[in-house]
Amino acid sequence: MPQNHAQRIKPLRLRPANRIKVLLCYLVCFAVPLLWQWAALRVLYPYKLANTAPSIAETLCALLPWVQGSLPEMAKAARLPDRSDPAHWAEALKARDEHWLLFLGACFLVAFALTLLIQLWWRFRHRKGVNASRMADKARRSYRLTMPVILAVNAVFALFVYLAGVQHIPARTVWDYLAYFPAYGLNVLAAMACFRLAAPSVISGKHAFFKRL
Amino acid sequence: MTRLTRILCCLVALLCLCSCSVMEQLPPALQASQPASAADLPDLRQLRMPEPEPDLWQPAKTGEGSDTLLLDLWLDASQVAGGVNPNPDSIYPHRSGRYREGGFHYRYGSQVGWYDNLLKALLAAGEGSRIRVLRSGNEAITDEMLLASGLAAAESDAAALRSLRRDLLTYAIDPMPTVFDSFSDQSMDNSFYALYTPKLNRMNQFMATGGMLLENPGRVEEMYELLDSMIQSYDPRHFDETVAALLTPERSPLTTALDNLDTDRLSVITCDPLTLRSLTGILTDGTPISYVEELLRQRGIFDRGLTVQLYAFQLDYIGQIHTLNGADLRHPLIWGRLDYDYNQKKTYGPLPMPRTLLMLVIGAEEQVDEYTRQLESCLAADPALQELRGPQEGQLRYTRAGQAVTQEPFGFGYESTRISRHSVNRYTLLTPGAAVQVTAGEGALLSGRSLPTVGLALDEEEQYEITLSFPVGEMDGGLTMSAASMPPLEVSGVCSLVLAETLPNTPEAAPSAQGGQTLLLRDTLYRFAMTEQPETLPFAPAGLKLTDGMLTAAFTASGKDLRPGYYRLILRADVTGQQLAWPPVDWVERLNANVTNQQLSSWLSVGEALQKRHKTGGSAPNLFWHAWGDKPGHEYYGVTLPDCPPVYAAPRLKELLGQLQNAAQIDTLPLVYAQLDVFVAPAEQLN
Repeated sequence: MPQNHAQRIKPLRLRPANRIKVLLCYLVCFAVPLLWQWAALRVLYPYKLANTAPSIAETLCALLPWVQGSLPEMAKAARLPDRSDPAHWAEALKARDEHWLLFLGACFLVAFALTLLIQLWWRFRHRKGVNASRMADKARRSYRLTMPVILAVNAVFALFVYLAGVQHIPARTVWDYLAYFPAYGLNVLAAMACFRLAAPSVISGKHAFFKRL
Repeated sequence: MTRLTRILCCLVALLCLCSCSVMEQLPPALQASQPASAADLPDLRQLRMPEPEPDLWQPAKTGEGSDTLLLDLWLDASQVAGGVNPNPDSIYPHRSGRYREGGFHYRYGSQVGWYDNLLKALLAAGEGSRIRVLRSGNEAITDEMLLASGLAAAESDAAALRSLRRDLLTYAIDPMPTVFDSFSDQSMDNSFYALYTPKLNRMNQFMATGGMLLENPGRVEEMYELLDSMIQSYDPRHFDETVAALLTPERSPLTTALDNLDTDRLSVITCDPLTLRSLTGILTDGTPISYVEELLRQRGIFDRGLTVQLYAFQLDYIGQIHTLNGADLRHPLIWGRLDYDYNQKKTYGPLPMPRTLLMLVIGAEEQVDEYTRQLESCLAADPALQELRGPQEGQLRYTRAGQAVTQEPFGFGYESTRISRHSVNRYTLLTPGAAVQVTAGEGALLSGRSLPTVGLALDEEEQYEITLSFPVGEMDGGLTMSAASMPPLEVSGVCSLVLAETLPNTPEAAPSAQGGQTLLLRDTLYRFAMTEQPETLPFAPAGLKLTDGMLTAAFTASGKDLRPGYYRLILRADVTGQQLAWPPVDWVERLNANVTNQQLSSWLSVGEALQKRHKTGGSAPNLFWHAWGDKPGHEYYGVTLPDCPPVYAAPRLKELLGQLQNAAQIDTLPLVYAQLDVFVAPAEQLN
């Protein structure tokens, strides 16, 4: 091979794969509600909402009387004693705090997991197709159905949190709502962002409905 | 910038705007620096108050650590109690067909004075106890004698000296009832009751064991020598000088026993009231002194929670009384004698006369209760104490208050009264029927606390009144209460745990909130400061009232002065000693006798006349066959015959009881004493 031809070849330009961008998009979008809820329970609650926990274990026991196991025990621990023993009062209030944070965390994680599963289900359902145009249309229709489902799922959990616990908190302030509910909205936003920005390559494009990063 | 980026930027901007608008509408409660109000206080039921202190004025227990009751019997060994006439120059013989000595412990054939039965009952009542019999006579064992004998060192304290004296006066330890048989005899020479009798020295019976049963073992020989030297040094011919040296006004067998009392033991002290020469005196600086009262105070008898039971026994007596109310009679008074027939030169039997013997039982209340119960059952079971004794058919007569008294047969009997530190019904919240009410303002009595707790709903506009009511029962100690003479009510604080400050709930704030307790609510840290004995309290006493059999103590508070938290209060109303009247003791009034110096003088004059006109050992004139005679107003060589002295009664008994009561008197005593917590919190937390 002549020497001049070898000198004209340009060096290789390595670009991050699309799947890396998609992964990062998922991580960033879904980390936001996680971080928000973590901050709400670990930072906001102890310093802005301390000792405001309702007796969630007792409420759940009343709602789910057939549940056996640790829930009745937790309800018993959180019950305020008849005898006004200050130590028992403090223990009961501490137990209420712990149960309330556990309940909030569990509700959020379930809603978060369902949101992620639904979104991933949609994604894996539309990653292959022979006819890209038809697949994109189908995915868009599916997206418009899936988003309300995700919204509904998160709304249901937020409503459950409100009805089971938050409505029993006396003298609620904005901090209560900021701590307990935005994470569910962020779940929806995270799912929406992943729908639009991290769609499978077969249905996404630079000027398409589903953007390709 | 792509379209998507623009959308995201707009979304973030929108979120920021929304957040800002929301923040502007934050309610004031979000601001941590805001003062706390009833609506946003944390749950104050988490506050922990310290355990209440134990109730005040717990009497000291005595005899703790010993399962066996330790009993000391202090027996009056005065010559009067034994009817012994120590004066050798007397017109009456010590022993003849008509006259005898013996006193309470007289003996004629098989008949012995009831005192012997009483002493045996004293032993029987203490069955199972470690009993020590001590002889308390007219002899004095001074500190100087103890020091000179080497028994005590110069640095020995008063307790050690008392212990030595108790050993020296010990007559027997764990005796059998037969120990008293030797006390009585038809001849009382060198008897238990004789002055400086050889029976004063009983150390030889403890020598075999080296004095192991005594309080100071190993000192028996020195004690023997001391007592022996005392006995040897007494010369009956110098009776007057000896009596003058020994029988100082403040000394008597009773004061000797009280002075040397072992307060850890139950003590029984017998006392012939005629030995009480004087119960009051004046110190060199002019200060009046009550001897028995001062002794009891010095020994802390009532301060230690001990109880004194004062008995007065009516016993039979045949003997020669040589002293009366501090006056040493030249010739003794004959009280009781033998039934002697001059015509047939024959003695038919004893004709004892009634006399009063006093006895004190001193010890812890429960010990005194048990011992006196046993004693009284023993006395009731003794058949000898059920019979009647004394002259019949007018065999013995004497004059009293100008009236001739023919002595009738009499029986054994006794009276008693209890003297202990006043214990008026102390009204506390544990008193049955006691109640606490919030009579003004919103509040309630909270249950389930270690102390009664009154909850007051926090409201600055409210005026509160808390009323404690007690049903008034019968007062102990003779306290009389009327609505007009109620003692003042005091409200004092034991401690308080109230809201001191609010801090922002930050990681830095918690460590700085020291001293008290902290509670968190939302973004605020509430620091409750614990103050011991707070100087200022928001409570004011409203007074003590007595209405319809209920004693009510009320105190008030203004809502604007109350702070959230706890106040531990003591409500107290004290009665003074002056308000506590001792209940009247009827039998003391009955048995008490007053002897004036004028009467003493007239009796002394008769004695002088007898001394002058009759030879020693000769028969006494008919005027003096018995006692002081039964022919008042008659003259004996120019001296008018006075009435019989009240030897049958108990001179100075009332004074003695008064001194016992004064010693038991206390300056102030709580009538109402209630310790309670007041919990100030929002109304919804008062349950």
